[in-house]
Formats: sequence, C-alpha cells, structure tokens
Amino acid sequence: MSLLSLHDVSLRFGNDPQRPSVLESISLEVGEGEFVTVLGPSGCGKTSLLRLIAGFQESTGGEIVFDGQKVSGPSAERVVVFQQAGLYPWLNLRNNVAFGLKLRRRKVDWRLVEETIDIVGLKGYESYAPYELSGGMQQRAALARALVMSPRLLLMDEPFGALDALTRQRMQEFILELRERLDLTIFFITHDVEEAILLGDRMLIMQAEPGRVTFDEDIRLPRPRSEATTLTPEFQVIRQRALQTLGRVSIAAAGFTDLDTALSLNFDGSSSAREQRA
Amino acid sequence: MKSFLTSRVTSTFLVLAGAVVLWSFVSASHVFPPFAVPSPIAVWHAFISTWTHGYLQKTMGQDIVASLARVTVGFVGAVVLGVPMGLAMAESTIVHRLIDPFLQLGRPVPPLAYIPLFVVWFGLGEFPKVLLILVGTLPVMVISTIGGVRSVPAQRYEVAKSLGARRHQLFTRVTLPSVLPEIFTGMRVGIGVAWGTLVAAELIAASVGLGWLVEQAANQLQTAIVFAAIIVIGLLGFLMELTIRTIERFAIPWRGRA
Ligand SMILES: Nc1ncnc2c1ncn2[C@@H]1O[C@H](COP(=O)(O)OP(=O)(O)O)[C@@H](O)[C@H]1O
Ligand SMILES: [Mg+2]
Repeated sequence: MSLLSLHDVSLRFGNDPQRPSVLESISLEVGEGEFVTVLGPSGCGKTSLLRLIAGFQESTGGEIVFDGQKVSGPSAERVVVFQQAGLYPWLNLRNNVAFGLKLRRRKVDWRLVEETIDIVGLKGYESYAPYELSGGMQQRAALARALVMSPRLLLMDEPFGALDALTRQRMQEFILELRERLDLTIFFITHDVEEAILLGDRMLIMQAEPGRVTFDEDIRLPRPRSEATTLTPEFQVIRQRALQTLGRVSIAAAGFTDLDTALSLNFDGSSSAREQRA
Repeated sequence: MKSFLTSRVTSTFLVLAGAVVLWSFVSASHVFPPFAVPSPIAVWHAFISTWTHGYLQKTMGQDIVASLARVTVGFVGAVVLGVPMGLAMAESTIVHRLIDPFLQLGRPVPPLAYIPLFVVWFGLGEFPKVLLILVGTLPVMVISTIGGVRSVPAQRYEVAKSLGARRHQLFTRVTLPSVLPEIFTGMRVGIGVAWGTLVAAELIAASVGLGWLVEQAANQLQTAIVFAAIIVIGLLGFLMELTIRTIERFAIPWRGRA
C-alpha cells in the first residue's frame, strides 16, 4: 500500500463558477521512500496541492489518504519546508531545531538535536541567531527542524527558490547526499527543470487552469547522482522531454503560439540563467 | 554603528546648543518682554532656585518624584492591563466586540474631559490622577498589541502547525514572542502619551508635581519657572523612552533583522 494517495482531488476558491478550479481531479500514489519532484508553470497550483497534502487546507472534492488515514489537518508526520526558511528569530539555531520536539514533550532529546544539526552541516553554529546565518544555512536549519521530527513525508515547496545559483547547486548536492544516507519520502516542488530531474526518482509536471498532472514518469538515472549527472546524455534527453511538455503547458497557459519562443523561456515567463548558460 | 551613534549624539547636541544661542539672542533683543521670553540664564536661575529653595513650599526634586511616580504607575498600569486586553481582543471575536466600542468611543475624548467625573467618583487623592494617566495611555497599548497580533506572518503559524503545534501552543510559542516588537513600539508611544496626560492629571487639586508647577507658575507669570519645568518634563520623558529602548535592545535583538 502506498504511503500517500490522492483520489480525484479538486480545489476551488470561492463560489464563482466562472473561475476555473485551481486543481481538478488529481489522482496520485506516492510510495514509501519515493522522491517525487513536481514541476509546473507559475500559478498552476503546485503550492495549493502541497497545502492540501500538508493539511493546511481542505480539498473541495476527492480525498487524500496518508498512511491509511484521511488527511484532516496538519501533522508532524508530514512536515513542510517552505521557500522562506521561516526560522523563529527569538530562538537560536539549537532551539529552532528543537522547536517541534518541545511541542511534544517537556524533555527534549538534545543528542538527537545535535546529531541533526551535524547532519545538515551546521555543527558549531548551534548558538547562532537565525539572522546571523546565511540564506543557505537558514534553509539547512529549516530542513533540520523538519528532519528532527522523523517525518514519514517531507513536503518541500521550492525550498531553494530564494537562494542564489551557487548556493542552490550546493543544496542540491547536499539533498542528494542526504537521500543516500537517510531513508526519506519527499514531495518536492520546484520551478527548475534540472533540479526536478537531478533530484527526483519520479517527476510530475502540472498544467494550469485547471491544475492537473499531465506528466508522471520515473527518472531512471543511476544513483548516486551529482551535478555531473546533468551533463550526461540520458539527463539531456529527459530534460528535452520535460521542456517540450512544459512548452506545451506554457503555450496553453501564456497564450504563446510559437513553440520556439515558449521553449526558450522558462515557464514562469523569465528566461532562466541556466538556459542561457547551456 | 559607533560612528553613526556618536555623530547622531553630536548633531543633537549641536542643534540644541544652536537653539539656546538663538533663544539668548531673541530674549536679549527685547523684542518680547522678559515675562514672555525669559533668557536662558534666567531659566537656569529659576531652576536652581526651585531646586534648592522650592516654589510654593515644594522643591523641584519633590515635584519630579511626585510626577515620576504618577507617570510610572499610570504607564505600567496601562501596559499591564492593555497588553492582555489587546491579546484577548485579537484572539477572541466576542471579547473584541465587547471592548472595541468603548475603545473607539473613548479614544477621541481628551483626558481633560474625564477630570470632573474622576473627582466626583474618586475624590482628590493620587488615585484619580494615576487613573487618568492610565486611561489616556491604555488605548495606545491595546491598539498596538492588537496590531502586533494581526501582523504576525502567517508562515510562522504554518511552520508550527506543521510541526504539530496545538492551538494554545500557537499562542504561547508563536504569537507571544511575535508581538513583542509591536508592544515595545506601543510602549515608546505610550510613555509620551503618559507624560502628556500628566499635566492634565495634576490639574486635579494637586499640591506637588511638574504639571502642578507649570500651572502655578504660569498663573503668577513666573515664565522662567514654566520654562524650567517644561524642559525637565521633556528630559524625563526622553530618559524614560531611552530606558524602554535599552530594554528593547536586550529583549528583542532580532528587531529589524528578521
Ligand atoms: N487562498 C487563495 N484564494 C484564492 N485563490 C488562490 C488562493 N491560493 C491560491 N490561489 C490561486 O490558485 C492558483 C494556484 O496558486 P498556487 O498553488 O500558489 O500556484 P503555484 O504554487 O503553482 O505557483 C493561482 O491562480 C492563485 O491565484
Ligand atoms: Mg508556489
């Protein structure tokens, strides 16, 4: 049985029937230990989908079952890592990481906290305030805060989207290593095609208005992977297919008629630095 | 940071020194009669004489102690009552609906207007004076606390919920620390309001206090004493604000950085 299943899930905001649904009949199974990446044009409903799975919002149709139980609210079994680290500024790194454990019981397993801080490579920074850490370090801290809860499912919404290109690349390698060491199930949203392919066991591509999953395939690249994987021909083939799918999706979303224009653009409309380098 | 602070202190000092020089020239020119614009020297003498010999049997020191005590008790009372009131109003619609009408109606009323009522209800002692300062300052504290709760970034709550926080934990672990900066802003505004209400409060049959001193000296055209008392009020208000700011730096070092 899969860890997470979505049956015909739909989501609509407000009562205006003229407005398209944000999400329409999404059905999906995620197995234990799977790393699923989700790509899609801006506004296609990726965040909305993640919020439904997290339990922040209730779907207006269908149902979401997690570990055999219907999702009815947030839970520390499905921890979210946001694009903004969102560390609590009044707590130092150690206490930010321990935040979830303290909610559970008075006595905190500080050894686990220290270990987790070590895993994300922040040993030595335990007493630092969040605003004393760089963007990449803050995001690692946010990840540690989630990992320390041993969640069954890690929900990540463009976690590296606010980082500069170099830091993002380091974080991708870090996630790849982490994946080799820990047994994690991850639902990972990104707007970066290469990131989605490099990290995922499986990639979903969504289209907008209404939000649907139009592409769902396993990524059969050997592990362990690294940045060098992006240079292999196999990677490039997958990348081309993803871009074509996205191109179609973006044409539909942005009203492009010219496929070449659509393909040269990133799907949020900007042309990405990566594309230009390639 | 250091050079910025020093330069700000220097510039403040220069501006004030310039003002005193200008003031000396204006008073020396005798464009205005001395009872309207006394010279800085005359004000200094008035201050010294009030400090050592007193005015109407009360020394400046006694006036300062009396006023500081009233302002402090009234202000602390407003914080101690206002912050929980604001929190309760922000957390509960019912509490908000019960209290908000009084807050909205009471806010535009100048504290002076309450004086006759307070005298009838509470007499002429210290209580009505302190209460007046409290009533004048309370809305500032309530409103800034509510504003603080309303402006907590939604993501702070979602992070906590995702890590398994229950409702009361959201309040104690997220809301309370998050509103601290706005509470401090409220206190900094509030301390000014408290001093502003003081003069009105000391119109209630006071026999000591800086507001009382201003009132009495003005009645007898002792303008130099009025000037001296006003400057002392300004300095004390500034010192209290500085104290709050210093506490703030230790209590919420993250202010402006997160
Ligand atoms: N709370 C909300 N109320 C109304 N519309 C919303 C709300 N949240 C998201 N939407 C709409 O849902 C659509 C999908 O948004 P989102 O899930 O954030 O997309 P993505 O994360 O893929 O960029 C957008 O058109 C957005 O305007
Ligand atoms: Mg999004």
